[in-house]
Amino acid sequence: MPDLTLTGLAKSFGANTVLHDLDLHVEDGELFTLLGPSGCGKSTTLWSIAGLHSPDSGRIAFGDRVVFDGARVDVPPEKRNCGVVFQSYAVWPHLTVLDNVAYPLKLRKVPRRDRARRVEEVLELVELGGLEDRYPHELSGGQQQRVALARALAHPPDLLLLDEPFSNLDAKLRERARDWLRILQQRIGVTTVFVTHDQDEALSMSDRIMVMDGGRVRQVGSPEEIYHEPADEFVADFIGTVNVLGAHVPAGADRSQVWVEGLGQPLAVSPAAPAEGDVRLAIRPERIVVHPSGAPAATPNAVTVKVRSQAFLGDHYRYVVALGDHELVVRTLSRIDHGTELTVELPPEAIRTYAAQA
Amino acid sequence: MSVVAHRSDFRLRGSLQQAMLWPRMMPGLVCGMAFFWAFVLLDPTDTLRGSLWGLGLAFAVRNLAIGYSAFYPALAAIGRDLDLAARTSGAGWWRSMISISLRLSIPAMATCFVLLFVSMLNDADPAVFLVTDETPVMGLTMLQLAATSTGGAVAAFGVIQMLLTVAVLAIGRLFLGKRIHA
Repeated sequence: MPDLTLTGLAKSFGANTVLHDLDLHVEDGELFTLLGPSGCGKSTTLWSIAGLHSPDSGRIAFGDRVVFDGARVDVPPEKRNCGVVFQSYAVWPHLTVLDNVAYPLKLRKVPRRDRARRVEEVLELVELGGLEDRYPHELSGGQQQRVALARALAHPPDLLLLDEPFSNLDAKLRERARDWLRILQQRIGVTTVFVTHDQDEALSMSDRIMVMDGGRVRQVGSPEEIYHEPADEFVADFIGTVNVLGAHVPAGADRSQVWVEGLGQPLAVSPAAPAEGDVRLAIRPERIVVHPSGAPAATPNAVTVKVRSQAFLGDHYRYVVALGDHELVVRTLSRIDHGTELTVELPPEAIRTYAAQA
Repeated sequence: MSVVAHRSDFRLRGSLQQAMLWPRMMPGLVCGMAFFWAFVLLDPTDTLRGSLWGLGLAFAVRNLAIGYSAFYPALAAIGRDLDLAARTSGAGWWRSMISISLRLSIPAMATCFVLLFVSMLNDADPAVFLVTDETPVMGLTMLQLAATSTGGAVAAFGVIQMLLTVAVLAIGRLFLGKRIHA
């Protein structure tokens, strides 16, 4: 399977620029996720790869094959050999499962016997064997999604492009479908670009994730890097739950000590704050250690706080506590009553600091 | 023309959507006169003006808006993803239209054709400047007969028109009335 390279890709719709000089490289056999809020340009990127949008400039190559290069090369979608699964699945309602899956093979004039064998093979792969003669309206949402996937894999494609394929499934089915799809992708080893705005899907399925915002790349990395070492406040806030606090580093002071508004003591941070002046701190709730009966004496960043609200979430309790002028969300397995004072520890290495946006 | 106007990358597709409505916006007589002069200027041999093809073309263009307004809502109801899925599966634009969008809109096309037939059958205005002795048009002939107070012949033509309409409806239902799975 070829790798995928996007160089300087730009796209505008009228005055609205949706992609700003996007560079991207997806390794052979990798499952690469484009993650971001609605309107960040992730679907535009995917559609540009598929040939359904023509970018204004830039270059797209599948391995050594250039499929788009400014005004010079623009290979139409039917000649790019991508398998695409649309958000709506786009399973043709007037064709049976068999005919849907056989369609790309018929177009490629695959002999009847080979075609039947390949259709059977991909339907077995997506666990839809025996449903060949059903029409889409006789299938569940999950089965329709598998038909769309089988059709995308039938030819077989150089690249598999998935445009939010789980968004129409219920929560339980979505969880099962993503595990199943990840195993399938690893088994067939097809280079895959996956678009989603669901961070759980992105974290659980991807080899690497690219977080996008406003048509720009915020960060590219493994799920662990994206979650534990977010490059900026946007990524920290978009992925998972995070406490973001305003803080200050006095001019000329040690940048590994920051002052949170309303808190009478500085907090140690590691690594040090990137700049003096106003900064933003981000810390994940699960990284905050709760000491209901007080922390040991030498514990760094141990702060006494009062519980403002609590919620039982089945496998843990979620508390909102007051820290200086801010509210802090913490998680713990212990039950603590409303109004109780307790000590929370904010490990310096769990705190990320970012320069405050002007 | 609807699929070109709404499902293609044709550069002038926006103008095409409006252009399909123009022949209906002007009086039928003006439309007929426009075709008359177009044939005179563009076809010096006069083969098209005096033929049924010339008449058919004028009637088709005149009634384009009716066909478009009957067909377009059905086309709009067919998700764009369906033909884009065909494109990414390997079909060119025309093939994706034929095998997916137009295939799914067969019932709407049938309705559109029946409506066009009924409309053309009753239409007379565009033919005023185009008919010859060899290509009389039923609607215009009925008007001429009515003007000379030949009521019986007009009534007979009316019955023929009704029978033709019923026959076309029956044929349409027989061949194109199948339900598409949705």
